[in-house]
Amino acid sequence: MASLHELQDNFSRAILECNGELITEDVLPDGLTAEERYWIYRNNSYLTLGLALARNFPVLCQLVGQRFFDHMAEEYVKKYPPENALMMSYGASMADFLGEFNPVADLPYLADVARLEHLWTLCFNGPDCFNEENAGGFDLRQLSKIAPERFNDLILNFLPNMQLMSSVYPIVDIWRANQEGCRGETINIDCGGCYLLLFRRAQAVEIMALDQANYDFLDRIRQGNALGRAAEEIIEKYPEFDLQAALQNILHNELIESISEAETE
Amino acid sequence: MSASVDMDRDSIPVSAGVGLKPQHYGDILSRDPHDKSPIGWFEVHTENYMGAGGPPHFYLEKIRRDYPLSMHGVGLSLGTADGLDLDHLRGVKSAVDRYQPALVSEHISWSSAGGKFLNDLVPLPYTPEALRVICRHIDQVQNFLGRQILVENPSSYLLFKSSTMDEPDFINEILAKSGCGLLLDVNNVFVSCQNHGWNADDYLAKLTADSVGEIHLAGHTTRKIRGKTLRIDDHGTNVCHEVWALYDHCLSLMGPKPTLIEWDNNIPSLKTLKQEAERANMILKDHHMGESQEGIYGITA
Repeated sequence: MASLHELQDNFSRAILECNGELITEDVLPDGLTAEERYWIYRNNSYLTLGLALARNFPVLCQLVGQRFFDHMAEEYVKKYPPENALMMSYGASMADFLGEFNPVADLPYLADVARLEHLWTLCFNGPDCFNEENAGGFDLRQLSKIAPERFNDLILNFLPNMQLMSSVYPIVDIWRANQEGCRGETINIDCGGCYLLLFRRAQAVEIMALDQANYDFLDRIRQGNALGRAAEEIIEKYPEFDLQAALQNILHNELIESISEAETE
Repeated sequence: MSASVDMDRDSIPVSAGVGLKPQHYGDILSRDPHDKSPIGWFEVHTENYMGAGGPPHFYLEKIRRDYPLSMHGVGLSLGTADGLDLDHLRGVKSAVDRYQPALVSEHISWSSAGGKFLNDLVPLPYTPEALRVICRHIDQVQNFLGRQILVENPSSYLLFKSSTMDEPDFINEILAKSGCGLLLDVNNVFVSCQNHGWNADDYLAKLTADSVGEIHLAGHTTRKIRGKTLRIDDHGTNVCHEVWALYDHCLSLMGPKPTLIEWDNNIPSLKTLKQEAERANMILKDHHMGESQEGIYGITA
């Protein structure tokens, strides 16, 4: 007789490898065949995992259509079965999967749409800003306490749920055209890429398109560079960069959770 | 605004509650404070509140201020031979610590093996080995959380040849050995009994009734396979009349218990959920009256 470990291992493989023979020996037929009983479980797992993926990738589902999405989800589950029970984050490898999934080889932007939707989910469920509850965000008065000559050493700690991503495709337009109430718009896939900032405000995820210089600036700050150094590098790369406008954008959108000062060298 | 000033938020009343769904957050928070039959309590799937932050926590915090709460897990896989996922257990603990629910529950089933999660509640073989494994895990969870949990009887579509006990005996053994309580899912009793040709009254009569801390009611669907009807527990419709009748019978065996209306697919309006809850409340009320009569006249069943 199989041990519990063997039985569960066989059952799990039977489901994920779609091979009922691995388990039929252990199942009582009882009026049906063991294979038929196995199929109920096999279908249930794929159905509920497919639903979890459709919830996490609604735009992707919209773009390829429900029937194709279901097929794609099955292939995804076989290749990347969930490794934990948190369905809210299932599908982290969707972009990689799509990059290798032949039937969508002529739709290369899909992988970036999946990347955006995954970041959306991370932003949605990401940590709360510690002062989010006060709805006040970062207290600007803290900045006034910093001596002007120390501004260059400032480190801005962004909202913990903030995300950045770029794409060579206009995925933000694709994403917007596939939200409820705005369907049917035609988007030219060759009209250029985008640089995106995602953050949470008033319990909603906002997706904001930036220019490349602003994107790089935020990215450098996010990597822990002090303000002075980040600004210097960006201005060197983009002489037209408007530092004041970039800082206003950060303050206006309340992207800062806290500030600290870099050690002076 | 606190609508129910007299409501004790820290214990589950012996009345009907409903499963909390994001679609209903707005309706619940903007409800009429003069509502004559407010929802008594809510239950959430613990896993939906195990993210770091964001809107789920924002809304649950608000709702928790006004209502008693039960947290019902679907991901611990208590029956797995591999050992519990400790990250998951820590996540459950932090959700439980944060929301201080009056009840915490999980399932008599398994969902993961070899590090892969099937997202389904698969039945166990009813063997001494499986009993040892699940009792060990329930012990581990109860010790880690520092409280008793309830475990839910499964719905199933297959039985394993290796089983040496029947399901009610297996459940009673769990209750006796681990000291946990039973979340009696009446729909699951009906579904499993129909699927396996068991007698539901016998099943219920066998269970240790005084361990029942909560009842679940839900809808299910049917599927025909070569002329044989199987009942599939999908939580996507109204509670069927046979399950209502079985619920009534349960209450006559074990007295009124906190009762949850579960509806997880094709989620209807809050109004529909409230109607189902009101129906459960009417049946509960009959049994409450029965109980007080017992008190007065000393009638025993």
